[in-house]
Amino acid sequence: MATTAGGALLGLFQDPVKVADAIDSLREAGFDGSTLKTYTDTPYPEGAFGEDPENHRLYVFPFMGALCGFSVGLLITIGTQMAYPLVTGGKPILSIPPMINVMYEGTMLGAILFTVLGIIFESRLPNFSKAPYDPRISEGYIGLLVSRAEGKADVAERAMRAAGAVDIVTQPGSGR
Amino acid sequence: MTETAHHHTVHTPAEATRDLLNRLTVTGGGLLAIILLAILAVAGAVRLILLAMPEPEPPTSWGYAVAILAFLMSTAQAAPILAFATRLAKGYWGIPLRRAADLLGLSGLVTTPLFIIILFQLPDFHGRTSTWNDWPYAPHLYDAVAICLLTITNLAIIWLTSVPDLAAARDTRGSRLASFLAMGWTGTKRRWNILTTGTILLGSFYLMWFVYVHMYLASDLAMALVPGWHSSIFPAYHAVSSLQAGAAATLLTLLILRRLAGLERYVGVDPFWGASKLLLGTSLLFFYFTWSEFIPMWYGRLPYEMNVLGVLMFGPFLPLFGLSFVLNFVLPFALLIWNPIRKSIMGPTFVAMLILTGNFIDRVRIYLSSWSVAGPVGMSIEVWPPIRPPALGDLAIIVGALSALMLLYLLALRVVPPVSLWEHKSALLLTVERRFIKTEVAVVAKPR
Amino acid sequence: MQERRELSPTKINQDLLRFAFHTPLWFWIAAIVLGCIFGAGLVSFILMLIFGLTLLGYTNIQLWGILITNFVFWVGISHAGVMISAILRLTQAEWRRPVTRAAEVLTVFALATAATFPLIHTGRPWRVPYWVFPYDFGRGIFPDVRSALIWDPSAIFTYLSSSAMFIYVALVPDLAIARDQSTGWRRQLYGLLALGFRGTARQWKLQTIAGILLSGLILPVFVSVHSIVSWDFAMAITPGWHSSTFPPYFVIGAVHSGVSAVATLMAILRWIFHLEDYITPDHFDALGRLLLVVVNTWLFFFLLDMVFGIGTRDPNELAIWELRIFQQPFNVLFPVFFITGYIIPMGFWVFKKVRRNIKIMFWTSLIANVGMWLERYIIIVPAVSDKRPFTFTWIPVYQVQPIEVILVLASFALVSLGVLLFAKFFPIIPLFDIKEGQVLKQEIQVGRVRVPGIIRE
Repeated sequence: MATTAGGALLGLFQDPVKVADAIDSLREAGFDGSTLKTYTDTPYPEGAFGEDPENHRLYVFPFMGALCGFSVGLLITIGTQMAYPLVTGGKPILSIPPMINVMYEGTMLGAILFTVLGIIFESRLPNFSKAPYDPRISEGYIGLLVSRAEGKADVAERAMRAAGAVDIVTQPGSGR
Repeated sequence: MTETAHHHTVHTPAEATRDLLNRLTVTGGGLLAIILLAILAVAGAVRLILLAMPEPEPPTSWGYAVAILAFLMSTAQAAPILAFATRLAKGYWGIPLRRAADLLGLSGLVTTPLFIIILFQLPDFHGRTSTWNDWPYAPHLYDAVAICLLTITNLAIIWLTSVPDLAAARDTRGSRLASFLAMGWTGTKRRWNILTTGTILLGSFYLMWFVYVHMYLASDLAMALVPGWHSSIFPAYHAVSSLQAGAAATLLTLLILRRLAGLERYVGVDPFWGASKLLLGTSLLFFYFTWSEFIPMWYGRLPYEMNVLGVLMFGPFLPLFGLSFVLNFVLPFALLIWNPIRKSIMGPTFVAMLILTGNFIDRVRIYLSSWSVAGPVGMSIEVWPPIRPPALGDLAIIVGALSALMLLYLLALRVVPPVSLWEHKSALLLTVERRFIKTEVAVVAKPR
Repeated sequence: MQERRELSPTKINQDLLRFAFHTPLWFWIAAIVLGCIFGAGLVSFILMLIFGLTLLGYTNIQLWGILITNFVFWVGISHAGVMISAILRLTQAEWRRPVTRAAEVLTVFALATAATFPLIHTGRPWRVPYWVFPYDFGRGIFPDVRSALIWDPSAIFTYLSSSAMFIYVALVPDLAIARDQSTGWRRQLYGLLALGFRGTARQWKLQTIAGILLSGLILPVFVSVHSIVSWDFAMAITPGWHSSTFPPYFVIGAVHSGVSAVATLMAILRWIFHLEDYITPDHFDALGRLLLVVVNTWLFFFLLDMVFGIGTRDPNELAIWELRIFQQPFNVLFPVFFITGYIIPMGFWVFKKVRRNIKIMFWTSLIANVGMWLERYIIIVPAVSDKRPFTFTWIPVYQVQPIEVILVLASFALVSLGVLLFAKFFPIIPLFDIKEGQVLKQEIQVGRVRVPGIIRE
């Protein structure tokens, strides 16, 4: 069975237990856990397939964003009040309570914006790669991608079919 | 499929029953504590009576007494609401803390007489800007009735939620007191239905009544005494900060019980983790309500409002306000946004201690300042009063009130187990750990 | 959730993508009708630009009327999204699944519509950049951040952008499903928007964290937005407005009207899209119970405002309350508001049978929003129509003009059209969320009964 240019092949399963069995078999056959990825159309409990845990640094993004937003809010409020120093309603030129309201909104906007960017980044998106993909995954099938299977594609295919894969896909992904 | 009871090391109901009911025995240390607490409580009561003797004291002398009243009402008397909330939402994580929270409602037996005594120390209410508009016998009669009803509801909740455990104590230990209080309980389906419905109804009523009583505690014992203080949010602020402090009081009590009564097998990290989210939310609400009270007054710049800000926040009481703000909001927020701190036992408990300290300081700030400016109707604030340090008599009342609560708590623990046995057993039935493909998951069932 | 359906992924895809892929005749009729109503609003606005604010019912003291009432109302409706979506995500409530996206979409369109009303209300909207955006137009003038009217745009912009981003992030997995299930231009469009999402374990983990993290971040924004809108009134020392309880009062009122609007929307979605398998009486029961808590909390804050306003014994404050309750036309509007906003909803929603009756929930939630619209009117209009001690007695009472009514109706049309168009292109019920609910379903045997349960990680 030929693999795609990226040396990957995708096994399609209908039963989640069989996916877990396939991952075990592939590990026994010498495939590293980092080269095995599952594709599902809905989240499963973490570790359900026995896959390697995923580490991320998403939590850095909200803090960075909050800092940026806070700084922008501070600059805008101080800058505009200093640029047009007019006492209104008896309040001092640099009135801290109103500044806090605007700075708070700036902080939250920065935090949320950076969090969204962080989610997209940490999810490794956008991803328009040519790795194999099958639309049946969105119909409840579970995909098991073996990347970097050059030279061991037959081994991988045998392991997955033995575990109960209903199909093996090697065409470039239509997931774009 | 293998299943194990979720997060429990005690697997059978019988084992839990034997274990928890054995803890009703009071050890020597317990007796000593009871005697000491009783002495302190009596000392506080004596001082209170002396203060209330016919010779009228200036209102400022009552500042600390009102502060400890408000503190107890804001902490211990708010704790049953946390238990109710977890019952309403069917949150099993809250089961270990429900009895600890419910029993804190015994503080009603301390706050009720204290509240009534303090009511009669109020200056004349006629013509005063308050919600009563010169109704006859207001606020004394109505506030007294309100606090009595609150305490009665408290006691009813404690009794109702303990009945099945009292029945278990009756059956396994032959306790006559438990037999009397259990009133012939047998676990028929009808009785269980009535019990569970009743706890929700009583809890709902308690929550509404608690908020109502706090509205009058805040407005009659503080706002009405300060000329120009017309803040409509203050009663809500008082209630919300009480929910925060009630959760904090529950966590601290739970930790103490866990250590002293050896409840590690029943009280894991779950109740602390669950309550920590509530602490985080209520800390944010503390800031929100404080800010919402401050900013219209600051913005409007009306003279009488600036005076109120000076009395309560930015004048001589600024250190107390600052400390309260840091302990109730800044530090809890800074600590609880970190998941490792939330998901621990000591983390939320440490934050709870900060909040309890902050809540006490906040109540001192509010009530000492209010009672320091209390005077005849129409009087304006000429001078912002300084902070009066507590005298020995004030300390006696504060310590006495706290001791009375602890005394009642210990006495209650001689009758009911520190963890709600029947709710713990229901959780054993309805939560299991199960294998899901290749991982272990907890399954939680919620019957209709 | 006790009512459980066994739904295969294929069936879920078919049911929930049907409207996105096929266009029934009723869609065109609805779009045209709503478009016409919106068009009438647009024409009214243009007439206002040409002839000025004289077309409205304003007097020389009554400058905030229907348009500002409508602004506050729609900001209130926009609180639906975060209440349902964020709070129910954080509490891991299972019944949120079919409700979240519709609530979030309602939020975005309601907020965007709300934001147009201060612009319309100014009469000269081209001047808005001068006092909102913080950069110099070469005249040395900057927006005054000390004004509550400047806090408004910062809050609304933050909430609008955050809600829109929240919708998009949670939509990505469904866009991937739509990509896989479609062909032609739809496949290209969904493929581009899905950014190549494939459903790896890492992507799902981040989706789950995203839901919780964004919910936690957007909740404080949700509270701040309507608080800042309330400060448009509370910062003024106008009797009847200068109340410190306005922020939580407005927020809880917003939650009341927002969640009621979600109940209305869910009933409509169930009927027009035949989503009986996804939106069940259990969902309305849960919404109803949430609304019970909300409506009683709202009552508490309403009473706080009223009781402590009257308790000040300030003659100016008492005059406003007297106007609000006893003088025409408010002597009719006030009881109508209280009956529709509290008595009827509370009276019906306490009964479980009623909460599970979708038709009654639809009508009572609509009635609740009538009451909440009137509530905003009663808060805003009397206080500016009786500006003691500066009142000029020869100014007539504020009278609503036809053009103002048309603008209000156009706002309803705009929001409805927005939600309809969104549902036309994107699934309004989250597919992956429903599928996740199917995966996490479990049962526990207790005696002879199998009790429904759910996996908690």
